[in-house]
Amino acid sequence: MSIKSVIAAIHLRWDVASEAPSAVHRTYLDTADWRIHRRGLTLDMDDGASSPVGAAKEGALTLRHRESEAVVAWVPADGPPTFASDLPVGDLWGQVATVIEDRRLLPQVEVDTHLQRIAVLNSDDKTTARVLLERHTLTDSRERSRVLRTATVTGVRGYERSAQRIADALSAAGLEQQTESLLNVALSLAGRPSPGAKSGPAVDLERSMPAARAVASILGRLRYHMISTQEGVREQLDTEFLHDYRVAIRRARSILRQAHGALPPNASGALAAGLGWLGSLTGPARDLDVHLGVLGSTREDLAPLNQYLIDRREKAQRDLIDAMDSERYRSLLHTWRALEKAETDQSAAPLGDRPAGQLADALIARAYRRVVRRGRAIDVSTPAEALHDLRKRAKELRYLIECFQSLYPEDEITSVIRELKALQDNLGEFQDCQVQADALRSMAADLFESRAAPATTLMAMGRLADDLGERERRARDEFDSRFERFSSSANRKRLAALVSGGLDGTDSHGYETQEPESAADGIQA
Amino acid sequence: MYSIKGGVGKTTAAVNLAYLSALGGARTLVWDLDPQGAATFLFRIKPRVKGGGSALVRGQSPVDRLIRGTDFDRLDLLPADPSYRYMDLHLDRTKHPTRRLHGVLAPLGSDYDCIILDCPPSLSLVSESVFEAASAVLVPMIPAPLPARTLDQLERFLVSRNDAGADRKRDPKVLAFFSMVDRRRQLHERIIEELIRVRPGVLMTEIPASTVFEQMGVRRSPVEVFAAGSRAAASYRALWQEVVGLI
Repeated sequence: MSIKSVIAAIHLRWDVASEAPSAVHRTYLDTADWRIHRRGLTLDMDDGASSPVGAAKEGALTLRHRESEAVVAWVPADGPPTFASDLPVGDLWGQVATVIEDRRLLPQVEVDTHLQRIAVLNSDDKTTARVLLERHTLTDSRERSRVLRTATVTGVRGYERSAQRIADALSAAGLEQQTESLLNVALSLAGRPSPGAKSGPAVDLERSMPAARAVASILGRLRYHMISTQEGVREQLDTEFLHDYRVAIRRARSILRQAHGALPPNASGALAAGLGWLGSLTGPARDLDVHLGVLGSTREDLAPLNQYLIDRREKAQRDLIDAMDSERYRSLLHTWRALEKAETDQSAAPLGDRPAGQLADALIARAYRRVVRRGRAIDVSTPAEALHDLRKRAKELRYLIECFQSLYPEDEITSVIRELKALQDNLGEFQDCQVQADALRSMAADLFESRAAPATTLMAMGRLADDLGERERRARDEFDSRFERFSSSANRKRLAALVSGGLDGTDSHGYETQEPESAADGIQA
Repeated sequence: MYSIKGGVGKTTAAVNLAYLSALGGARTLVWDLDPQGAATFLFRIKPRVKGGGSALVRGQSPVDRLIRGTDFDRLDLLPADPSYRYMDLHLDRTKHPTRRLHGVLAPLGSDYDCIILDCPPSLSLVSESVFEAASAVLVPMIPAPLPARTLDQLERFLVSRNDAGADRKRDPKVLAFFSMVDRRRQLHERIIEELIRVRPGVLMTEIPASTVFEQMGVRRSPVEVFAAGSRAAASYRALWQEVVGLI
C-alpha cells in the first residue's frame, strides 16, 4: 500500500492536516560482535531531520531501547564516532563506553527514510491523533537495498479512541501490524545473520551423532569465526579483531589436539601444523597490542616507549599481512575446509564413528583431571612455569567445555565455566604481569642501547615494572583460594554429574590412552 | 502565572511559555484554573472536567484521566471547567484547603518536568493554594499608574500567610515582568523606569504590545508557531530563558 493510498484512506473519513514531507538518513552503529545490540540497545546517527527534540538542526547520535525504540540518551553530533573516546563525556558516553569498551563502532545498516506526518483533526481542528508515514530504504554494507513502508499511529492523551479507530481502519485496509524494531527488520531484509545469534564456539550437537561429524562442525564454526574477523585484522579496525582471530585459531588447535582420534590423522596433522604457524605469526602483533594497552601512555616521560611500541606494532602488522597474502595461508584455509568435509571418511579416524557425547565426556573428564592434578602440585616454592603450564591446561578444559557446550544442560555448564573462569583470570593476571614486566626490562635494554630514550623514560619504565611485580605477587597470593574453589568437591560433583562415567580415569571408551600428556603442550598464552 | 488584575496578558504568557518549555524538551502541563478557560480555548480543547472542580479538589477524579494532549509534543493541558468559578467554595470545604491544589498535582510529579498554573485574577483561597503549590509566581504587569501597588499587595499577602503559620521555606519566588509595553508612549517609559528604580528585582525582559498576540485568538496557537520571526515571539523566548535561569 503506497503512502498516497494510506493518506487517501484516512482522508476519506477524517479531516487531516499534512505537514511538508521530509527525509532523514540514519546509520545504525555497533561493534563487530554487536555488543550494543546484545545489551538490548541500538545506537543510531541521523542527519538532523528527526532528532528526538525536533528543534535540533544538526545530526544526533541516539541510544535507544532495542524493542521499544524509546530514547535512552542522545547527543548532538555532526559525524559518526569511531570509538567511545570520540563521544562527549556524559550520559550517552557512559552507557556506550561500558558496553563497547575498546571496540570500534562500525556502520552496520544505513536507512534512508522519507517521512510524512499527518495530524487527524476533530471539528475544532484539534489534533486527536497523529499518523507518521515512512518509507525506509535499507542498505547493507554490500549495497543491497530494500524498501519498507510503515504507518505509525500515535494517540493524543485524552483522545485515545481516535487513534484506535484509525489503527483499525488501516488494518482493515490491509496494513500489517509491525512488531519488530526497524533495525531488526533492516537486518533481516538486508540478509544479515541476526545479531542475537550466538557468537561463541558452541554449535548444536547431539550426544548420539558420530564424533567425527561433531568435531567437523566445531571446526567449521571456528573457521567461520576466523574468517569473519580477518578483514578487521587486516584493517586494524580495533585490537579485538586480532584477539578474536587468535582465539579461533587457539580453539581449533586445542580441539585438533585433544580430539584428534575423531579425525583422519594426516589431514588433522597438516592443519595443526598450519595453525601453529599462524598462531606464532600473530603472537608478536597481539603482544604489542597488549603492551600498548597496558604500557602505552600519553605521559610525556613514556613517549619514547610508546613510539617504540608503535613502530614495532607496524612492523608486526606488515609481517601479518604478508602472511595472510601468502600461498601458505590460502592452502591452510583449503586444508581446513577439506577437513570439515572429511567427516564422510570415518574409516580413517579411529574414533570417528563413536557417539559425540561419549567423546566429549571423556575429553572433558581428562582435561579436568589434568588441571586438578597439576594445580594440587603447586605450593609456595613452585616455580612460575608450573603456573603458566596450569594456565594452558585450564584453557584446554575451557575450550572443550565451550565447544561441546550444547551437549550439556545450560545452567550447570555455566556454573562450571564460571568457576573455571575465575581460576583462569587469576592465572592470566599472574602470567600477564610477569610477561609485561619482562618485556619492559628487555625494551628498556633496547632503548638504552640505541640511546632512543632519556634516563627519565627508563626510570618511569622501572617504576611500571615494579607496579607489575606487585600485581603479580598479589595474583600469586590469591591463587590458592581460587584453585580451592575450582577443585572443591561441590564443583567437582557438579561436573561429575554432567559427564557419563564420572571424572575418575575410567577407560571405558578408550579415549584415555589416545594421547600421552606431553603431547598437549604448546598452546600459546 | 498570576495577576490580581485581569486583562494583563496572563494567559498569553502562560500559553507561550508553556510552548517554549515543551519545545526545549521538558514535559510540560498547563492547568487552566481560570473559569473563563482562555488557555483551554487556545489549545482547542473543550472546557470541561468530568466531575468539575469539586470532585477534582476532593481527590475523587483521578487527575491523569482528565488531562488532554495539545497539538504540540510534550505539552498537555488540564482543562478549565465552568465550575472553577466556585473553586474557593470547593477548596473551603476540604480539610487543608491551601494544600489541595498541591495534592491534586502530586501524583503527576514524575510525568512532567514543568507545570504551569494559569490562575484566575484575584487574591483568594485559590491564589493562596497556588502559592503553596508553586516554586515561582510569574506576575505580568501592564505599565499603568501605581504598578508597584500590585506587587506590594502580593507581597503583603505572602507575609500574612507566613504570620498565619505557612512554611516560609516554601514561599515561591515572585518573578514580575512588564507586559503589553509600548515604549513609544512616554507614560509607559516613565512608569517602567520608576518601578525598576524601586524594584530592581523586576525581570529584564519586557513583552511588547503587539497585534501578533491578538492573532493568537484567531490562530489558536502560541506565537512561536505562526510568527516565530516576530518581535513578540522573540520577547517570549527571552523571557523564558530569563525565567529558566532564575528557577
